[in-house]
Amino acid sequence: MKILIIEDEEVLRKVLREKFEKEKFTVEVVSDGERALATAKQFAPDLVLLDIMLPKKNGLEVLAALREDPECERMPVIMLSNLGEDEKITRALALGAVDYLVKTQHPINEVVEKVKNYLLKPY
Amino acid sequence: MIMSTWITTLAKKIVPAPPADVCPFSCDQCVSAQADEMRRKKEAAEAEKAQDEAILQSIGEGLIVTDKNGIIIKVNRACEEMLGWAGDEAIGKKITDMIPMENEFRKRMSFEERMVANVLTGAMFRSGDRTPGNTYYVRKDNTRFPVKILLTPFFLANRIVGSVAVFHDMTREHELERAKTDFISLASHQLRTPLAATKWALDLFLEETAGDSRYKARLDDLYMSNERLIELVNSLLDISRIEAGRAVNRISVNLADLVTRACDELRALAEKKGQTIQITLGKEVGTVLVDPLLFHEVVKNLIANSIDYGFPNTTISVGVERTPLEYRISVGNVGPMIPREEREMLFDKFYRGASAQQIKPTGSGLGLYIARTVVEANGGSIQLDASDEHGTRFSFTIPAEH
Repeated sequence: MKILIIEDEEVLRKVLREKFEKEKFTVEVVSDGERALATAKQFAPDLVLLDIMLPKKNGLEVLAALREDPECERMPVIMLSNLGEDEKITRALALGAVDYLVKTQHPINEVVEKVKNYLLKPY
Repeated sequence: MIMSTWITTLAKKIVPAPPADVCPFSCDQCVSAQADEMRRKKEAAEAEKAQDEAILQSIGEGLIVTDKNGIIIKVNRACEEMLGWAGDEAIGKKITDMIPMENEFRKRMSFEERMVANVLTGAMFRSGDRTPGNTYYVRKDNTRFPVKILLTPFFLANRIVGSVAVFHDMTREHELERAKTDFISLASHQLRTPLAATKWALDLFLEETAGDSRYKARLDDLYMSNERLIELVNSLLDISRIEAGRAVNRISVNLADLVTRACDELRALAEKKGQTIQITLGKEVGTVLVDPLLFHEVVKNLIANSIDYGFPNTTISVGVERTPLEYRISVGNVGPMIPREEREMLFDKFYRGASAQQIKPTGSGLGLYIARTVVEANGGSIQLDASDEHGTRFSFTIPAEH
């Protein structure tokens, strides 16, 4: 299974990569919003983990761009953010994110479980 | 004497007597005195008019007066400055032509869509407090600013002959509002990012060293400290959100589900102290209109307090009952009494009673403050029902949804 992680914080990128590789995922990471779409098209992941506060292009813009691209429109996207405001969550879900996780509220194992659960669902 | 009285009476009948201080014979001297008097009155009236005008012009808020047809008949200086006009150029023009109004999506509103139309037809007597939050006036140079308008009709002989609008430029208020929101986003991100990094790095570390007892206790301590910081940041963000007025995201929620879920989430914590959580749901528990995330926090917070401050191996009782207008949710434990002198301050921000500090040194003093703020913002009230040698019970109310 392939997972694309879009995250600007280095420690989080490292930890997420390590964890998902341990779980036998093929992992690609991107650290800013601008390169996200091109990488998504090229890498064709089974699922995208997407942060919101990103340099150059924020996560919601990336999500909208993914949804508008014929190659990426059906990729499941889980938002993984530190912003917990209702309006952000509502907007992300309205734009087609399958889930929205506030990072500090979930142990890393739970994040992996959520990802696995969505990958088991046909889309 | 009799004769002269008769003549005077007759004269009064034929020629109405002038006021005592006015000469009846219109001699030059008296005419000039009358003219002086009229001039003085005119000057006084003009001075009064000038004063009224000066007051109108000095009002810091914009002022627009229209006639019955929405034609502008008067504006003040603040209005001209705010809208970028020079002199009296607005006078005689239709209000919609001179001051276009837009909604938040930049859609221009027609005369009929504007409140002034309702005010002029008498459909609305005073609309000021009903101005929608996202209304904009468009300046002469086509830029715009958010506006709050107090509109009232004005009457002559009991008929509406025009409208008076006093408006306030809300740019500053909007900026403050945005700054608060930006702060919440920034603080969420800046504070939570290192906490998430620590949490997940510790997750991995705990996993890698599983079974090695040398590390376990220390890593658990680190993990718990980090969790405490996470909770503290969550509380502070909740408070910022509530205080910025951004917590009123009310939706219809099934109250029984909300309370049951909060209990379920805390069952493991209670079991660690050998406690059981018992829920009593009264009849007719339906839906309430609340912010579900915040209310979930309130219920959880009261239950978690009951667990933390309750004696081991006892029962935490959670009840929901319906009164004609509202629901009462109560949470009680078997535990030590809250000292009388601490009771009044329990709901204050950052307050921690001496006895509470002894039992649970790690509390932030924010839980009950948040609970009170959330409950009150949703039209309810919260109180300490009882605290004696048998235990302590808190309860709060929420209006029932009709």
